[in-house]
Amino acid sequence: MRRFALLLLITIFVYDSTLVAEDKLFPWNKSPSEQIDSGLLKQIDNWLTYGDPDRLANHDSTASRFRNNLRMTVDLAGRGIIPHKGGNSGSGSVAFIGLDIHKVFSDDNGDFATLIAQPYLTKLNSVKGPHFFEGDNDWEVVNRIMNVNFTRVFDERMNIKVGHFEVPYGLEQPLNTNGTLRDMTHPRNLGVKADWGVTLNGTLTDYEYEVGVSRGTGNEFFDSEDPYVMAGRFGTKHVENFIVGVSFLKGTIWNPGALNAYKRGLVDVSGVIGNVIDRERIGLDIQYHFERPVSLFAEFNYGKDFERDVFNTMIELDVYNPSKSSMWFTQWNYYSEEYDADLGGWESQIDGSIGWRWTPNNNWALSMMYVQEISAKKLDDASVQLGSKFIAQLRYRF
Amino acid sequence: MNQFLLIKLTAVLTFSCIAQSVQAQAYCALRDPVRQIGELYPGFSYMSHVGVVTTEARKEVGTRLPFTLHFNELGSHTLYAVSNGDARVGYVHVRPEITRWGIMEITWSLDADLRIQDFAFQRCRNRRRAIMEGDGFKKQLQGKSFDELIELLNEDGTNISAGGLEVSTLDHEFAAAIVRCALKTIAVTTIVWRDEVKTAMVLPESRNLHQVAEVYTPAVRQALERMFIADNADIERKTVNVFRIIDGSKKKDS
Repeated sequence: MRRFALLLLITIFVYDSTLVAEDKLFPWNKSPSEQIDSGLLKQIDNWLTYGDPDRLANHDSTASRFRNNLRMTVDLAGRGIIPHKGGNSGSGSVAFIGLDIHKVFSDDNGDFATLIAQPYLTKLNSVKGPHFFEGDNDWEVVNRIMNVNFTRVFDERMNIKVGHFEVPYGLEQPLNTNGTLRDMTHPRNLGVKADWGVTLNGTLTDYEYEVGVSRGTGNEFFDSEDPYVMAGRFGTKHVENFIVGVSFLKGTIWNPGALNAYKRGLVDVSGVIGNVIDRERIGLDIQYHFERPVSLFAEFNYGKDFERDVFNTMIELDVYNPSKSSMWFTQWNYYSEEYDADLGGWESQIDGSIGWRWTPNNNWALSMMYVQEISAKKLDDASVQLGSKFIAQLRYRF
Repeated sequence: MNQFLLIKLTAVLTFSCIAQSVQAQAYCALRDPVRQIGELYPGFSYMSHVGVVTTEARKEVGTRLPFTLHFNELGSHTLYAVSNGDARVGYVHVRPEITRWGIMEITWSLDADLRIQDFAFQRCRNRRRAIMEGDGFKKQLQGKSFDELIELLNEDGTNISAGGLEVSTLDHEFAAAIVRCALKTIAVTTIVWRDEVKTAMVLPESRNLHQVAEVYTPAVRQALERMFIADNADIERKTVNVFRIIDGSKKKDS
């Protein structure tokens, strides 16, 4: 509540000060002809793209150095979610506003580093979010990706990345699904999507790789209970139509939700304390791009949560139009683990989804997805109710 | 009042679409073509130059070619300037082309005068890509300037011109798409990175290149005989090309 009041006060202050300013900031204070030339978003757009011409005229100025080889975009998105389970429906939403920054650093000898920064203010409205949200209506600054990749320590065969990056494992590493409804297996298979740490990455003649060590805490960096993640992926080069990758992960991951799910399969949970889950995974991922714009993706994972065996699989089929402005996809997930024998042994969960993404131009993207649980893990002979959800997202980048 | 504000905000959002200076995908998905740069220019250094392909640039491309850029090709793009020490040796640029096999992305390597040096597919679903990546096709494009490439296409750019390229009839559509992509790459590079590329050009910017049909004329052969090198086998004479450069910026009487 205090955060909301602070935001409101700042907004009122900024708005009031623009009312008395000579150059009106907000478009609704201007005539239609003024709006065409200098609407607020148009001004922001121009500044994001080109900067201030007077400052950039001096090539040695800080503004010039900052602007050189910079991409900077405001990313707004709203996501509506309608879950349905056992005859009950609800609704919730998530709002995102963030900056997407990409900057290449160069000197007289060429490029030497690339910065990616994506801070996103994320607000939940009656939606259960990842563990770093404090409730279903909380808001947080989410660091999607925030790292510097040093590209000239050696050559293209080995770079060093420092910061917050996607855990290099499985299909997520080459595909990057940040900010889209479509997701790979990281949240449920690994329990961490992006993490703080260091990776070695590079491209060899026929192969690509990334291997990293990270904190194991996800969005925030802290050392409570000493979590960590070691992960890596080695794959054939991404320019081919048939791509194969192998991955590994070992770590203790801070994820209270994943730990609670693990406890469901134990008869005696008294020995499991804290918030970290001990995980090992090995994975195989495959991409096949057909001659027509159709692609098949598959990921197979085997490993352990503490001493419990786990086997998780994902298969996805994508169909595009030739310009790729429309994409239809269907994804099927199979998650299984071996509960204590008294609770039924191997239990599995299957869900399927169909989705559509439409990007009519470089600014807008509309996505919709319907997810249906086909079967669920159950304890002993307990009955379970299968749920479904419909999600829609409108995204605008400028 | 709220409805009025909503309508105005919608109008502003619509106006802001006009700039089209961003890319639909998040920047974490961007990949520099480092492998291709390493293969095309082994051991050389490169420097990125980010430029914005605007709707104005799209229109200008349309004045030079019988086709133009797709709207998804607008936005920020990178030209990689490749250097050997202090000497600029060429450029690398990735450009997409929409085909019935989906979007094809080609990494182009250009020399300092923006002639085709080489290319590599970054994304191509066509199963006959290996044929186009072979020397037989590549050599037909290598060294070609914008003016020479445009002669390889028919009037509207939808197919290759008669006798323009030696490719199987199965590959006419595919080859035409590659040539269109090459032409757009040179046009966009000239328009968007004009200041960057003109300083390194060896040939005058407003030149016209005309290939000389007969290289070894009787006068040239006589001159070679006088120097006792008429039968020198060290030179493969069939591969020698000669161009006449006409500098359009010079006056006729100067």
